[in-house]
Amino acid sequence: MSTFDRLLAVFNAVFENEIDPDTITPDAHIFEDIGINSIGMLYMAVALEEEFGIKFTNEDFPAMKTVKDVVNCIEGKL
Amino acid sequence: MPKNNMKIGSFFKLLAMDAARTVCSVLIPVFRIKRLTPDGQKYREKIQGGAIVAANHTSFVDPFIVGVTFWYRRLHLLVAEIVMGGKLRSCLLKGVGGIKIDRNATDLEAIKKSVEVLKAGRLLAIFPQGGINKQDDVDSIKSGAVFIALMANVPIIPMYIKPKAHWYDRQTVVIGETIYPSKLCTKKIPGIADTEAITKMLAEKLADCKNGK
Repeated sequence: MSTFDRLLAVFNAVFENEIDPDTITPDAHIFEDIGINSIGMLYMAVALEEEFGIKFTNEDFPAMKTVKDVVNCIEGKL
Repeated sequence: MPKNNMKIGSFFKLLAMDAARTVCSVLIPVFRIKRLTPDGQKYREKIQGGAIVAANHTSFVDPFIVGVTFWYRRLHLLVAEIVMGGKLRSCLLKGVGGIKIDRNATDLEAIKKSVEVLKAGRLLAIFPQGGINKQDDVDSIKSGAVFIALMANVPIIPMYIKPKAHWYDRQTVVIGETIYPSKLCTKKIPGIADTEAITKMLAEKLADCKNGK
């Protein structure tokens, strides 16, 4: 299972009935295209930390604009 | 709820927090706090275990009022990064239980620290209006307090600090009905919708406290 597929599974579990799963593509903008707000970003971070066994720092967030950025950040920490 | 324990903070940090409580004790006769429920009755409950106190914020004195209201507990406080500017101030505020948070960014580290102190059974004061709000608009609050409560699985105590007409008046605080966010979630994993719904409920409870007898 690729990092993107695992991330997709986390998104679907955390944002069940809150976001449209079809909008989650590698180039999708997290805030504008998927519709995740700042609190959603926190839920996403906590869930991804648990799924991948990584730790995000505050410095990671400004660079996470698209789904691809999140995948790259996770892969950089694995 | 977990009992208050000594896992969080070194001996010196606890000493600093107790020094802050001593200062707050000195302020007890200054504020002469009147604790009320929204229906005008005397508030007699003693808060135990980890909990968030969510209060309105109209003045720089508010953190002291929260400290005096809960003088019997070690109190942590979410403090905006800008307030913690300067090494001395930052050191002092951290020493007395302040947790620095960047209001303009996703500050996961501050949230983790808050969850940690709450899970250790401590009391955490948050001003969910996100800073001093002179208009005292309790309807527009941020959802961070609810997110932290959900992560730490602790209740939220809404508290309204009534503005005083004269400096010599007794300070009234209205403490509302405790909210248990984890029990209000509609999904197994809380999400944006649950957080926003509970935040709205918190705003309503604060408004009840504000408009109470």
